[in-house]
Amino acid sequence: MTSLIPLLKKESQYTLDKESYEGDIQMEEIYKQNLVNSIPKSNSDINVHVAGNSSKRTSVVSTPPPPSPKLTKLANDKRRSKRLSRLSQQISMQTKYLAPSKPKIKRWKLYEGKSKMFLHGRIVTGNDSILFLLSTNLITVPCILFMIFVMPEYNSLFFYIIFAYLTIFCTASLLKTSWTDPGILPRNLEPLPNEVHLNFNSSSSSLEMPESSYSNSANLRYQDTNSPYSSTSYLNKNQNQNTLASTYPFISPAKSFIPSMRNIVVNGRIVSQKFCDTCKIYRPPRSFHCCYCDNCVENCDHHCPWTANCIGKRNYRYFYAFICSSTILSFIVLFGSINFIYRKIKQKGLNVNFDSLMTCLTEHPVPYVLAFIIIIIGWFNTFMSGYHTYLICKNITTHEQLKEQYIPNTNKSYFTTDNVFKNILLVLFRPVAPARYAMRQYISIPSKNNDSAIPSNSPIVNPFLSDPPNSNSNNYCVNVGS
Amino acid sequence: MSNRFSIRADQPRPLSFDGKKMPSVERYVRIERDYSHGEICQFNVEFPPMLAGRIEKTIFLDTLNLINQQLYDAEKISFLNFFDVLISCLTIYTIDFCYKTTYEKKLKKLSNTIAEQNRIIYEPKGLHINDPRENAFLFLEICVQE
Repeated sequence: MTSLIPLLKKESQYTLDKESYEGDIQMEEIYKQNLVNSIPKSNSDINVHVAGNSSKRTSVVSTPPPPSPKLTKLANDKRRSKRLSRLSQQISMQTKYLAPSKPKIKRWKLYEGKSKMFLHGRIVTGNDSILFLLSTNLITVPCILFMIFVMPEYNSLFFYIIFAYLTIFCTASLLKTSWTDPGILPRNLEPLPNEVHLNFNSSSSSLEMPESSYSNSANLRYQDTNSPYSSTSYLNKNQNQNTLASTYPFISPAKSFIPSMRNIVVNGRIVSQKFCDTCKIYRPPRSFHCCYCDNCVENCDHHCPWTANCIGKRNYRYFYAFICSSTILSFIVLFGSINFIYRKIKQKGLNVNFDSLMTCLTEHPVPYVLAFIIIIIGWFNTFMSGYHTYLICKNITTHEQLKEQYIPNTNKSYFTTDNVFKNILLVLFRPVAPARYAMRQYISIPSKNNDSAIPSNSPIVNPFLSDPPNSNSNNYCVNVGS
Repeated sequence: MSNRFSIRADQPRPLSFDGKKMPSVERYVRIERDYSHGEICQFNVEFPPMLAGRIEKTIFLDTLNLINQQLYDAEKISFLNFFDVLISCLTIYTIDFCYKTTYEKKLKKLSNTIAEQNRIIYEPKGLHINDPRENAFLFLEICVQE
């Protein structure tokens, strides 16, 4: 550490006096003892951006703080702490070997699955369906007709504004449900090379399960050499033999990945965690692999063809807002049009009988059409909103309710609390997580892997094995004087 | 469609964490999620045996507790989160374009905490904690270099 100080003396923009040497010694002590509490807080002069879903590019920027005018004790301490953090960062930047940068690509281009993306990954929809167009038209067209033909009867600006607001809210909720990522989980997070050899001449990397707390479970199917499902036993048996079994294509053991069972504890009960074969991850509880969208979705409720999207964790409140507002709208339209017909009949001084209804129909057909549409379709909306209100009060998803994955002999799922209000808060007012598979994030292009040990149909690539060996020599120099 | 390897090659982070020599082998340790509190994301506070010689147990458990605490702060039902959702609902979701929710801010704070812990404690020892955000919060990965 001390040999680097003359290097740093050239680089730093401030003269390093005695106090900064003290700072270096302090930093050495910190490295030795690793005391978390004594680390000085880095102020606003250093920004470290880690590649996360919110930032497009990663950058490490250190801007120097302005020189302090007075050398009081307080300012001294502050300067020293700033120097400590700046020094540590300078050391860390200058003495490390940087990875070669690769060309970048946005993540939505690498998406495997059946969801559709529009606008370069800003809009994530499920499979197309005509029902989505039908549902948008069924919301907007009757409401606009209502506003044009029926509302003038009441002649009240207040109702106009409220009705317009509800229509726009309903349409916006529908579009937001349809165009939001419901909680797609990224793939291939589970199979992982246990050891990555960074000397670029090695050709083997074993594709095994990483060491985790669950690998001690007794149910290790893939390591059982006597079982016919084990991949290693199949290889051992048939590798050198020219048997029919070695060419039989129904199981190709090098390409299959059979992981062990896993039991987790949820709220005091033991539940088994499922492994999704397509996405190759252990699903969190309550998530589900939707076959229409071909990806795992967190807290998947159901796949709704009317919104052309799965309803998952990030979508559910917008979906609920959509169905509730559409029931309210349908009630308003129904009662408004019936009241309109009644008023028109009474205006003419007639009694309400079939003839008067027919005469009113010939003069004002619109309310009849509206009432007819709503009577046919409104049942579905009412049923859905009632059903989902029930599910929210119990904090159950649709799949759980249909498959009855409850705690036995009760009607509660594993995640319910007993309080109705708490359940409502949990489901509807929990903060919306950003997308797990961020579509618009830049990542480097995964390069094609020439290694034959890794099976060809797995999309896992090892960037450390794919770098060409002549870039080795550049990685060993220390960047001084840059 | 994986999150993991592409991001690792993409950061301007060095191939060697501690800056002393070029590492030969990299291994990964995982810390799985603790689902016992329901849907709130917490990690199992445990000390994996692969880190036995590399770092002290108390420091590692302190880091895990810090991460768990920040995750709990981000995901708990507080007035701020409640009002975020309510206001975005009342303004017909237009406010989502102009304003970052408190949850995002807290996640960013978590990322910064992990980066700082990495920089100060773990990288000099040749370890690196990968941001759980890239692994979809399914596990915490620690990269061990030798």
